[in-house]
This record gives sequence, C-alpha cells and structure tokens, in this order.
Amino acid sequence: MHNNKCLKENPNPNPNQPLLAYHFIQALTRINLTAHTTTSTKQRSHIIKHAAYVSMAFAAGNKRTWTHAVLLHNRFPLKTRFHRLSGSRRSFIMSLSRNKKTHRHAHLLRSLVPGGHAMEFSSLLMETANYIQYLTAQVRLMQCIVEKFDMHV
Amino acid sequence: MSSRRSRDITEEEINELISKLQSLLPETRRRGAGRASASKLLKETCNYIKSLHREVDDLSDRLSGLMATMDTNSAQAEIIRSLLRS
Repeated sequence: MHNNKCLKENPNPNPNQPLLAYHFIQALTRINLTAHTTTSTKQRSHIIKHAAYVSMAFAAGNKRTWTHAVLLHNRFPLKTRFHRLSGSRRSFIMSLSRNKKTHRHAHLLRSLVPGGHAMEFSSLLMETANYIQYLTAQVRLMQCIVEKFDMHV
Repeated sequence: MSSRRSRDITEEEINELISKLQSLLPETRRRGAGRASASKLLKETCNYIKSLHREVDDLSDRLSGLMATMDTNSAQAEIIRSLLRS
C-alpha cells in the first residue's frame, strides 16, 4: 500500500519511525478526546504543534541536549528571538570561527536548535544533525497522517 | 588552518561534522560539487531548519482543521494500524 512508502523513504536509520508515530498519534488521540468543541482550530493547531515537538523529543530520547530543552525547559520554535552571548562564550566561539559571517550564522543556528545557546560549537553541530533527522522524520509522519485523514474525510 | 590547540575539538573534527551536516541537507540545497564553505553551510542549515519549522506549523494547522471534521474512532484506528504496520 502506498502509505508505507512515505515512512520507508526515510534513508536515515536513526530516528525510530514507529516510536515517533506511536508517541505522536497517542498525543493526537488525547487531543481529540479532551479538546473538542470548545477549542478553536487555531488553538488546537497550537496544541498539535506542541505535541509534535514533545513527541519528537520523547522518541529521540534523553541523551540529547535539544530534547532536554524541549521537554524540561519548554523551548519551542517560536518567532526568532536573539539572545546575547555571554563574554566567555563569545570569545570561545570567535576562536573557532574566525570570520564574522560564520559567527553570525552559528549564532542564528543556536537560536533555531532548542538549547543551542548552552552548547559548544562542535556539540551544536552534532545536535543540529540529530535535530534535523528527527524534524524531517516528524514532518514526513505528519504528512502521512494528513494524507490519510484526507482519504477518510 | 592556523595553529591547532591542544584541546578536545580540532578544526578537522569540526570539518567532519560540517560534512555530516551537509549530507543531511536535501539535494536541491547543495550547490556544486565538493564541500561548501562552513559559513555557507551553516546558512543553508539555518534556512532548512526554518523551513522545517514552517512545515510543522502548516501541517499542524491542517491536522487541526481535519480533526475538527473527521469521524473519530474508525479513522484513527485505521491510521494507527496502517502507520504502525510498516
């Protein structure tokens, strides 16, 4: 059946796709039961988005800084906020990325990856790689679900 | 590259990590053969993550709209079954 293809297309073995699906669908079921006629579509969308990041972090496990940031500190992707770097951290980063453009992009990356500001540069790159893997898997999962809903409605 | 310091992270390791990141970005965003510069790659990564965040937002909106109209139990059971079957 074609619906399996969208999950199998994920070339990377790292994100555990069934686990991702399990957590997210569980959350969706809960949302459907509790937030029914009273919540607006926009409110529910926000709740679903929240559930997507939480279930994603859950599936990724607690060995990652970004999952801690999401689950424990409630750091979600919102509109971009820029944080000021502390002095010592700034000099450390500058020493690694000598040109200003790299420094600026690294700073932007830190604001995009949950918990990014607390990491060293090399950890940031590893966390980013993992975060992207899980984000793409989550997006594919949600696309699958939307497709199936479209078929049934 | 200039002097290598005696600490855990070397320039080479950073370059390795950067290559790994580059391999994760989708094909269409990779320009030309060989490795892009670090700053270009970081910029591509940032743009990619932003677009993924936007997709999550958009899909959440659509899911929310669909959940409002669907017939709950039967659809969900079918979805769960087919997704977990893979």
